[in-house]
Amino acid sequence: MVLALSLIALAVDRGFTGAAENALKERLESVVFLILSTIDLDENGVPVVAETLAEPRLVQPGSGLHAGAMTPTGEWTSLSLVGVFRPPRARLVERGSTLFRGPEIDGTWYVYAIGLGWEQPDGEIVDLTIWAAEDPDRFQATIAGFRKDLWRWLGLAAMLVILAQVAIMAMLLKPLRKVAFDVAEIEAGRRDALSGSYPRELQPLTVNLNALLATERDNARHYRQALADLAHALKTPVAVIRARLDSDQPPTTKELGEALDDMDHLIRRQLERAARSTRRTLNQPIAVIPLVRRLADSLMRLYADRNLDVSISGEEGVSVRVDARDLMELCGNLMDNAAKYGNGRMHVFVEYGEPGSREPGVLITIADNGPGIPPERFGDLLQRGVRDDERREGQGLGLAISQQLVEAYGGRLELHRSDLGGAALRISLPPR
Amino acid sequence: MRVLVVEDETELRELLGRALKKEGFAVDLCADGTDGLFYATEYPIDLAIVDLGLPGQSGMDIVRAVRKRERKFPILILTARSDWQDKVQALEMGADDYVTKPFRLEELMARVHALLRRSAGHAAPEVSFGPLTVNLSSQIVLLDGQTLELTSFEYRVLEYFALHPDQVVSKMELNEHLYDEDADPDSNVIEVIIGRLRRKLDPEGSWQPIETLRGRGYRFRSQPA
Repeated sequence: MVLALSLIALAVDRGFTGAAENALKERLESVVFLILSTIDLDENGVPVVAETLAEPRLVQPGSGLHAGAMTPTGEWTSLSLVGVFRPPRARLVERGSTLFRGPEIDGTWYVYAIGLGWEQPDGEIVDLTIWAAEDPDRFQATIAGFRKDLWRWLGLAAMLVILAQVAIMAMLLKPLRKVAFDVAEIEAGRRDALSGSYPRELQPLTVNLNALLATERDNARHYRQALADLAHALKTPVAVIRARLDSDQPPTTKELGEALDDMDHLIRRQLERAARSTRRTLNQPIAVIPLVRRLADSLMRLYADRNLDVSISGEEGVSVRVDARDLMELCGNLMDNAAKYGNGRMHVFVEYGEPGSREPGVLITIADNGPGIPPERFGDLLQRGVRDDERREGQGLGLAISQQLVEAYGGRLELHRSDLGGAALRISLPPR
Repeated sequence: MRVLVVEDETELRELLGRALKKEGFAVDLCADGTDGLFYATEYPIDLAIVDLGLPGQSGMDIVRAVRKRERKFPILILTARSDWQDKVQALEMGADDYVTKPFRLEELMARVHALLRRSAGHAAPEVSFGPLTVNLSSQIVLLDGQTLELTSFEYRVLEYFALHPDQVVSKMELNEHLYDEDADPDSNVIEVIIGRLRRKLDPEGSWQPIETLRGRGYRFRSQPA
């Protein structure tokens, strides 16, 4: 803005200086014509001008406005030139031409001169030059006065504009400052959520922020809960071993191994539960097929000696808003089961749940050619590894974890018959 | 077979070293990624067991660097994390299998044997050469259906041959893959063992499974001559 104002000032200044110079030239021109209207030449060709001129400054010594006339034989100068230290140096100007120059050429004066031919009564034509000059100090004083005014007003305008801007910014930022303040309040624990009225433009922000805060609190609670559960669950086996070590019946290596397995199992289960129960609020949509393809490549590497044949079909662009890690865990567990219990063939089919709707959700079907799962055992399998008395992980633990992950997203895990002959597990995930 | 273990937890590293030696492997132990990468690229390693959570260079870095240098031996990842995201990442880097901590030693050994077998192109643990059957998993050797008693070192030489059939194997190569750094093998030992193996595998001298190629080494015949 300062730059813009400076440019404006510069332009105005240039324009004004030019106009002032033009006005000066016109004034000097009119003085020259004034002289011309009263001039006469005597018989010797010396110019004679009436002393009562219509321009009072010409007869007022030191007025700064001067005029003169000269011929090859004589010269007249105005009364105002009396006592001037360095009078304008006049010279003859070619007949029929005019001259105007500023102090940058002459050194001191603005000069306007006109060259004429004067016809004497005897018919002789004499060269006559009439000039007028003005002291540049006066001119500069005018310009300086103008500049002072110009800058004063421009400065005032700039200040007003800046003030207006600050006021507008303050008005615009006020709601954001309120949000920042409220967030600080939440940080300090004096508040739970953003409340109160915010401008409509800020609603999405505050709604999302509130959702994020709620998830964050939920996650923290789940973590605390999981830690407490884990500590509690581990205390018993540790206490038993401790007591047995101190007793006269120390545990055998086999018993110690079993206890360790139990504890390892506990740790895994609690870790999985903690990971499952922490949800992220804002998930990016994830393309399903590329992820399934990565898993298939990994499984083919893992089961390299089984010549695993995995086929993947469905729309390439199908995507769903879930956490990438969760989706990978979900598909990884089910595809791993299909690789483990199938007979070398697996088919993964990915489609939109409700084609046509704006955010349709997805269906992922993982089919194998293994012995299949009897429908009456499916419920039991989903419960496996979740019950406390379950000691060894094995078939079904992956299923149970997948089931819980799907449920956490409000989806479903169903058992179908596979057209490959084995089990087909269908994951359906809702839009959000 | 020479196995490299890169694991920063001293106790686990030493335990793995002892267990692998007991299984008949030559073992190199490294405590950090930089050492591990050096061994993996400069020594004739047959299989590497790499912990993912190493100080300095991570296990993932080692796998990537080893594969970038076109070393193709199988790599088994040890990891405390068991989510698929990590598994997939490790496998995509070029690892061949993973074992989650804590693990049972038998489980780990089974994976090691399976990987070695796979990398030699055998799908099943049992490999047969004429009258000879070697079970690379249980390490039981049958000759004409009869169990053959072999010393630990004899078995190691036979196993190496079984995993590299019909290939010229120099004495130097046998030395490098069967002994680790600590040992200072007398070149005579290999010759003595090969002699004993020949007598045990082919008492009548009719099959002659181990050829001597003068100045080049030995060749194990997969088919009777």
